[in-house]
Amino acid sequence: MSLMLQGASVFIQGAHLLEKVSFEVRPGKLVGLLGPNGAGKTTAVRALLGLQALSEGNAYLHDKPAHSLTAKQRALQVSYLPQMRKLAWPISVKEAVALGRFAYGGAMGRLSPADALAVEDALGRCSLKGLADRSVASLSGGELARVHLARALASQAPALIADEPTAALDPGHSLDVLAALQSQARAGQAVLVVVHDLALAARFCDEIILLNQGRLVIQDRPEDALSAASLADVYGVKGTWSRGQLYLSGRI
Amino acid sequence: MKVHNHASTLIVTLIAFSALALAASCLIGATPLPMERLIAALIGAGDPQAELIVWEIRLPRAFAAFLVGMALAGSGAALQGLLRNPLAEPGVLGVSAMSSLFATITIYWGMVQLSPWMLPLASIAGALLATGLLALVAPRVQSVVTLVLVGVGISSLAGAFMSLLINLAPNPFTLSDMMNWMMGSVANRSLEDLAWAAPFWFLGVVMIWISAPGLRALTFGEEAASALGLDVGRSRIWVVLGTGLLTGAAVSVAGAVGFVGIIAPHLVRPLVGHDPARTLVPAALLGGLVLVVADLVARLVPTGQELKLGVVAALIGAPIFIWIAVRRRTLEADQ
Repeated sequence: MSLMLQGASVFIQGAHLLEKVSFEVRPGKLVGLLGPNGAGKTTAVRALLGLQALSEGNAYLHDKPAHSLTAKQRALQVSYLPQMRKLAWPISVKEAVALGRFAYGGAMGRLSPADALAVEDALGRCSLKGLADRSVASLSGGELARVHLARALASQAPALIADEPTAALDPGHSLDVLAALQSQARAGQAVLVVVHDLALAARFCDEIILLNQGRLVIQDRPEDALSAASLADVYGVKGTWSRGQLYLSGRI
Repeated sequence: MKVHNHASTLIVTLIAFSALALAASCLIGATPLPMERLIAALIGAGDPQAELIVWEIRLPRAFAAFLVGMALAGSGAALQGLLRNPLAEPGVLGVSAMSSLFATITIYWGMVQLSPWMLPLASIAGALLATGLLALVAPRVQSVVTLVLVGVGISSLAGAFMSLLINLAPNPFTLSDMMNWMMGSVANRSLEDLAWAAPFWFLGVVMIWISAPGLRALTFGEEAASALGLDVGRSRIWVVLGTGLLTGAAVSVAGAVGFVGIIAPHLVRPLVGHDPARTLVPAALLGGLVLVVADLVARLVPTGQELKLGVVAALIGAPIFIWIAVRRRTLEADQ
């Protein structure tokens, strides 16, 4: 199962949100999607999911064009953690996570044994067992992030896309989230994650896709994708690599 | 804060209380008849006078109140789930107003005489126009408040046209007929009146039923729900058609009765774990129960003129609406 954009462009009212972008996220890889604000990260993610129509090019989920899939088929191929994560109703943690199984048809209160197992597993992996009956409205930001992650894990789709899962999280919780995504990749999932924290991305990701102004700059190993030259070019910041860690030292 | 789900207990309790309220509504009334004659009439072994009062006057009226309450509260719960907004309701969003405007137009120009289908069809057309407009606007405005304002606009527009019709009413009879529609009442309804609205009522119930699981997925917002595997566009169509049919059917029977659709789901929600899908059935039952009781109150309160059901409902409902709105603001401020 791979996620792929091929020459993908999105033009909206004359603005080029995405221009001829091609990349691939293969199974077993944790791939970071990086770029300054307005680089087209969320547009690329939405295009992959078939939520954003392409002006040119194609988006493929496991060799099938994303737009040809029904919402349900798509949900079974890839689970998605969108940026906007406000819950409308204070439902319980367990029910929120159980919605990850919606595409299997079991979300109407009655979970099949397989659904129940997946939900339990996801709750356990995100250390939410003790909070299962709590209302999502009573959780801290870190706990809520874990609920959303657990919901995405519960679907057990072969691919996972997370759009800024560490936004508004403290460093400790950010590390936890990235570590969880990394272990998903190790288990064979194709994982694409949008992050703003360069050092965090450099540390956890197997590959980095760097976007700037709607174009692909590079897709490579972190050391090469986030080289001093490309950091200066794209972000206007100074960065140095030392023993596999990226250090940032201010604006250029 | 733990989440509790007592959905099944709640449904059983509400059914029991509704049955009691319906029976009480058949047994209590202005004509003083001994209880045993009424009970005999209710089970089909009474004298003609008691049977007439129970079967032709009180029973249709009680059932009209119950079905109208169910329709409006069920619509409210479904709209709230779709729009992710606890203030959404056919009355607040102008659906009832648009529906009663269309109904009034058919009365005004005597089109009701053409066919008994005329009134329910016109009411439903009006309701669908309003729900359709709201569904078009809803994805564009992310804000809860803006959507309610759009509803207020629709409501005012319908109200303005209604005032125009009243202004131009040819005679006092038409005028009083129209006032009845605006205030909402289930007095003098026959079982036949209910029968003409029933098919639309059932169709609406089925559509809302189909959309129920999707409402739960929408808790995460439209984009996430779509990624979860929900066809959001289709869900929206089911809810819009379902609430349009239900509200239209309700208005064709009782005129505009406000606020049931907001009170019932609001009271039920904490008892079913705030799940928008599980809210539907108990909310509808509670809505029915509330209107049967409100109608009983309207009949029994010794005012010179009989109180209108819609007036009683608004007197109870409007303060609760304000309370929810104020509380919601403080909740949003916390986030």
